[in-house]
Amino acid sequence: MARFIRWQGIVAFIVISALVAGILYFFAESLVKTAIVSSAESAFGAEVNVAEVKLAYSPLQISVLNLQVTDKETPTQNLFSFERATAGVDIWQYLFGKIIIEELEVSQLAFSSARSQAGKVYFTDASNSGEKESLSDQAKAMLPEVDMQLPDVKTLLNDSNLLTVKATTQLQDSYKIEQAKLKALKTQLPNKAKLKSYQDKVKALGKMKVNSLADIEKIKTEFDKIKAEFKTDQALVKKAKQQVLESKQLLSKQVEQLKDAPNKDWQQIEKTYQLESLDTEDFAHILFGEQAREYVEKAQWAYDMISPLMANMKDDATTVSENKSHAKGRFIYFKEEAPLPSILIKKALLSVQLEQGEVNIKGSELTHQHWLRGKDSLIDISSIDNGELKLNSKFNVTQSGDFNADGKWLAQDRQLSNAQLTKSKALTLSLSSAKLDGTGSFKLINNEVIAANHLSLNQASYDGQANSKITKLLLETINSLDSLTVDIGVNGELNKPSFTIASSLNNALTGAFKQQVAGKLGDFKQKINKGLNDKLVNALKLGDSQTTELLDLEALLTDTDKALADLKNSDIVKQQQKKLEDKVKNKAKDKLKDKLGDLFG
Amino acid sequence: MLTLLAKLFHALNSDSSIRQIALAIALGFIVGLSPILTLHNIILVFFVLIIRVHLGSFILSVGFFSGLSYLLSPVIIQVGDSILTQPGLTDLFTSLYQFTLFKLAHWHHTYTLGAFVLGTVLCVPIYFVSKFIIEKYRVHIMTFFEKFRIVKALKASRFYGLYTSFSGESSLTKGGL
Repeated sequence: MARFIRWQGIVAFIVISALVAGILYFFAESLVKTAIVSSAESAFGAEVNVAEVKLAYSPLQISVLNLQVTDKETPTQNLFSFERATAGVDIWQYLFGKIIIEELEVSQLAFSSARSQAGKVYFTDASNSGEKESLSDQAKAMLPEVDMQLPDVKTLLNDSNLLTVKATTQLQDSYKIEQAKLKALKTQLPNKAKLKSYQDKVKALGKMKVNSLADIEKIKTEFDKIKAEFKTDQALVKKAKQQVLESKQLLSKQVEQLKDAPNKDWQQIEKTYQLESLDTEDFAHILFGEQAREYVEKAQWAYDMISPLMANMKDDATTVSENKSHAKGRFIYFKEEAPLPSILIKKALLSVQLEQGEVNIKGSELTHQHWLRGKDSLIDISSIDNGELKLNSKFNVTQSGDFNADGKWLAQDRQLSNAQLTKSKALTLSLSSAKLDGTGSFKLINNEVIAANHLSLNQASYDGQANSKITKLLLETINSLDSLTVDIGVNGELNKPSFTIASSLNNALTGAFKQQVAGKLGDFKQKINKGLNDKLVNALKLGDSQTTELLDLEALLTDTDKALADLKNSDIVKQQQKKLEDKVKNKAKDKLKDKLGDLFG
Repeated sequence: MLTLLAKLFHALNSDSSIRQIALAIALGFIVGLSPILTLHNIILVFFVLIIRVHLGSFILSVGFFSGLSYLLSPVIIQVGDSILTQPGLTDLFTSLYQFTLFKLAHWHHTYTLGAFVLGTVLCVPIYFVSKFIIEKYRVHIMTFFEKFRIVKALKASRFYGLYTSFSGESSLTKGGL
């Protein structure tokens, strides 16, 4: 046996074990401190300071004192800090690879507190480096637009894109073209002298002496010659009449278009400059939307922080796999009788220092594997420092990875002071003091949010500066209100939600504001319409002169046509024929009378 | 105190036959491949200390294979992952998982199990390869190591003097590493 075994080895083993245990015991606190600092720095990308870490072994309890995490966006501030955090860890489960905290207590948790010296920043998010417009910036951006919506009347009226201007130009151009066409035709038409010469020729044929059929034949030939000339002129008159008709139709159509143009122009102006949407609802958005959007951004930030922890939690039927972060590899968990999540905080108590006072947060069953114990995580927030504030919420992650959360909140008699509502070039408005009451509820399914909130501000006083007529009026109106209610609905994806904001401010503004805005708009509309109508009248004057000219020409054409038709239809040949017949008859009669006289004597 | 330690080291290091050195390297391979503070490593260290293997070679082997383990970690994790997530082995692991010892040994961790399985499987060929190399090249290796200043400094130390007084001559001169 001694050939294979050396009993001194047991002594060495005991010595080594004692040595390792001793090192761990004496250096555990600094080792844990180093581990916390390095893992937090890699997670938050900026300097993390921990004053001290204390360990108690029975039961295992870790206390972290004065932790400060630098905000990498603003290194002079902390992202968050706390005075003390104590966590009671189940050591047995820890040895199995699970972090089960019986109770976590965090005191004096604060956000955005100032640092004694700027913290180091190790890396910044690439996604944040781009100038992404925040939701509140979008709300702010709405206000200057309101002033920009009323453009300069003169500039607007000189806009060559106006339909009135276009239609006037078109009418003028058409008139010129049609006038040229008609002028050209007019030169070809038979003039009065020509008509008279025709009439004279026909008259001369009528006066010709006819003694024989040969004379009649001659008259007919002469008349046919004149008729051939009429025909050419008649064709020209017909062509001219057709042209006048076409010109009349074209010009009257364009006149109609011109008459409609001012109306269409005004509609376009309203649409382009959003004059229709200039109503009080926008101001409720501007004033309260910014705050609402900020709260949603906070919720989104919180969701973005916890969602990576919730990712890849999918599980199959046989194994309960989980991704406990480990530098190398991962734990694979299998079914057991009383399964526990890989991370679970059974009870958490946090006291948070906010500007509005101290807020207490109680949490229970905080984990990302709710299906294992069949319990939802509960988070209750309460504060009684300033009136009453309560929020009760619960959330869970299903085995398939779906995140569900819902909750209700209530605020009563909370005194607000110096809360900035909006700050832009056109309007700076802050709530100097007010009493706030409110209720609300929210639901979050994955990243789809549905929230309804009702807020009531009483004994409110405001402070602000306005630089435009509209915002001055808004400021006056809101200052005259002692109380107002705001209903804010949030729907859609958390990163791009849609807001519906209704406020009693709308009703208050309806009278005064709408009247004045309407007055301003009315004045603007009047000026624009006057300008457009002036253009129209000028153009129509031109149209009138064109119409008179056309009518004159039409009358002339009708007369010429009639004269030519009369000449053409002249029965000069028949008349001469009749004359000859009468002459022959009379001659025969005379001859017969003479013969009868001779016979009867 | 130093005398006691020197006696202990002599006792632990006196077993320097080729087989004992090769076994020490093979066991050092299993320990080095796994994370240091695991249950099977503690048991292995205990085993190494009480059976007659060359401790110096064991320590050197652990150091060398720990470095190698860092480089091979993706492969080790892959092995552990594929074993633990093998549908055919689910029932076996589920029943093993009910034992506290299994969980305490972290054999449900991909790295630990991967390293243990790879270590156990490969320790046999490593034993024979080591044995072959030592047989052939022990003299050359010894001369190579003795050139190092740190070895010379160690040999000049008081502790080494005490150590050699117990062993008669150094394990290195005897052919140990």
